[in-house]
Amino acid sequence: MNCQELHQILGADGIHTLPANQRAAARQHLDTCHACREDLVSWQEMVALPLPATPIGLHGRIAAALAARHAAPLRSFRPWVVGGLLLAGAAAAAAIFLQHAPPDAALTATTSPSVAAAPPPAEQIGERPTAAPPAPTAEHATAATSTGPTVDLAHTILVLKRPNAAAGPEEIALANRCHNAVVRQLHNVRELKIIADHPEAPQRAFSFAEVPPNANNPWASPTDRQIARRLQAGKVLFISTDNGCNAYLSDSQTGELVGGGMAGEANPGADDWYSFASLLAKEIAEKILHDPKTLLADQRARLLNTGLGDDERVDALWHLPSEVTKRPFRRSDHAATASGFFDREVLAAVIALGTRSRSAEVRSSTWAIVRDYRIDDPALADALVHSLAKDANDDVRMQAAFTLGYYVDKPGVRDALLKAAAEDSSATPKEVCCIYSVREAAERAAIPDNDFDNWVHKTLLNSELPVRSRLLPLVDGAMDGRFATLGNLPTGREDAAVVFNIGRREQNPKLRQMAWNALSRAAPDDKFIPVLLNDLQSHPDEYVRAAAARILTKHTANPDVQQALEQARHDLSFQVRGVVEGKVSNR
Amino acid sequence: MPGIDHQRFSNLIEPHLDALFRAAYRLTRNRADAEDLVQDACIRACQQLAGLRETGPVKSWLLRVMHNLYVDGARRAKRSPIDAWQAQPAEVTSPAATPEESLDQRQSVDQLERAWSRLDRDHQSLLALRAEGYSLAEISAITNIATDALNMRLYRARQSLTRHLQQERTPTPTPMEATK
Repeated sequence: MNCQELHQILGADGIHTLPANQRAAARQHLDTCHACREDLVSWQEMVALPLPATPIGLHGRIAAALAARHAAPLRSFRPWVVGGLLLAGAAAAAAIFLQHAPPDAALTATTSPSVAAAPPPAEQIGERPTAAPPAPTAEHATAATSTGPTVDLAHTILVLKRPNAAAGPEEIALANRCHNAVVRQLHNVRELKIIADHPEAPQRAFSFAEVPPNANNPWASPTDRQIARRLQAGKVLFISTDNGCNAYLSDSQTGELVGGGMAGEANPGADDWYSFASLLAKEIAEKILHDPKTLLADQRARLLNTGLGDDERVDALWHLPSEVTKRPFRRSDHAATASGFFDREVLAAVIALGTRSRSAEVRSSTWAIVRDYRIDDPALADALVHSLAKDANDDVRMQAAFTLGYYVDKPGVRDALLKAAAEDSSATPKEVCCIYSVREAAERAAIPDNDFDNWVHKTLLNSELPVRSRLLPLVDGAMDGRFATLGNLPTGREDAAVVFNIGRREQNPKLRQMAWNALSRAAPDDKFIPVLLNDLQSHPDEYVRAAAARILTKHTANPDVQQALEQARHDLSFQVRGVVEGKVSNR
Repeated sequence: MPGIDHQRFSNLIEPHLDALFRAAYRLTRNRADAEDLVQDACIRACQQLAGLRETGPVKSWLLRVMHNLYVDGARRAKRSPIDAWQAQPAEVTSPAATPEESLDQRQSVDQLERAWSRLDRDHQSLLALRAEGYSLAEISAITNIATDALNMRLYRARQSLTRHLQQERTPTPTPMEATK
């Protein structure tokens, strides 16, 4: 993926909401492209800027302005200030613009007085199903709950902000940012009504010590549920902080935990909870609004409809309701996949898309998403083997290789992977980090789970390999859901020393950064400090400085480190400042 | 504006006011100016209606009118973005933020606002529409820019935003730092 392609797919939503293959490609590009990383940060900041509520009365003013201009043409563009000039019965015009048509119907305006509304075009653009109401202020929230039309209890959520009782200023700020991001994304779901920052439910610290031992759900106390019911909210969303941001949705009547999620501490330069909040809002919407069975039937029909484009058909696979599909997380998980969804007919369609679609992107996407569902079917495995051997497109073969990793114990699969690892025609990618060649993907996929850590260790120690290949297994985000960290490898301490020595000698800043990023997951070792301090204070590449800072934040007991981190708060790079802000104690 | 049923037109635009206001606010970064822009766009749309020949969804059309108004410079901001934010601090920060947090948040937003104000209006409009979640096809229809050209313009717009924001956020080095 190049820079322009990345920008083409960057919408208002975070990268996390992209289809898996696009997401992986985007991340890989971002790992290597400083400029695009910077663009992404500023873009997401801009998207996340809070917007006020649409002023109540704006429509009335516009209506008055329109009527006033009809009654008394004005030069000024501010006719609303002369609303007093409105004339009763001003609608004397002969033409009826839209007759008996819904407001979002197509326009076919003429001056004919009897024109009938044209039917909406078959493919309308513009009307998004989740138009975004603005984030409310507390005033708006109060007004919304005390006046207005009938409230739909089931679709109303009271959001509570509950940082840990022991939270310091940094954690409280984190809770605020996460809370605001979540509330904002929930407001994008038009069918939901969100009550946030309500004066009757102010921010309050939370501690597990206050939860009774027999409580079924610590995330919805009887008091909070009572407040929710009084505010006519059928659900309570509890946002807390504990090594990150946690959000738990409960029923305000029964106290039952409906769902939720958590995200680790947002990294500086990342999207500051935007992706987490987007996904959370989507999943909450699914749970509250959608009947999973209906969704499933709709997506099946789309997938099987050969009258649609291939991209539309494969898109159905990306949108299977999460509640029904129970995607397994790790390669070794054998959780049941969408029970009943992948029947003979659906599988035949999937195989056809993966092997015969004219679009390489569709073929690649098909293999990527199939990986998520872990479908145990020999015909599918055969199709993947065929694709690995014969598809003309590198990316398709790479995706097939990763997916075949889940079938490595099936007859012929390991042999096919080993053959591709040795003979595939693709060259090693030119980018430094993280895009796997077909050979690399096939080699990795052929490694069984119980030998993975050992393989990572041996690869790292193999000095005949290029540095990139040695460090790549320690990079997270690989497509097979497996990665090893220096913190959890049995040989972690020895491996950390090897990574350190690779990094200290590496002149290529991207590889040096890669080494420091891997080292940041190792147990702290004082021997690393002098080299890292030197990098933090004087390396010309800001990402190397930031990576060094990240490791050094584990050594703040060392006075030299403390001083260097304090100085790094004034580093010219936002990346570096973001790492150290909040990590250095105020003196 | 003869020949138009204003009441019906007014009803026509009502479902789209949220979308219009949000886009307008992203453009102008100022509540009063955003209201003006929406109102002006609606009035202009009503004026154009008599001679309208195109077909298409109403919201797209309204957004197109607003986009053209804004890019053509028919609206001038009454107050600077910074002044606007200073007048409305509650919209920037969380009500529960401490004074220090509020200050940090406002500073960050101020920097972003200043960077935004330095963008070309054309870039602002494209970014605002993209930030509101409109697809490239939708933006192409709104702005009458072909998709390929649109891709390039959005790319350039984001680059400009980044550049301006970095300039806002790069602190002036102290003499000691400058000599390192």
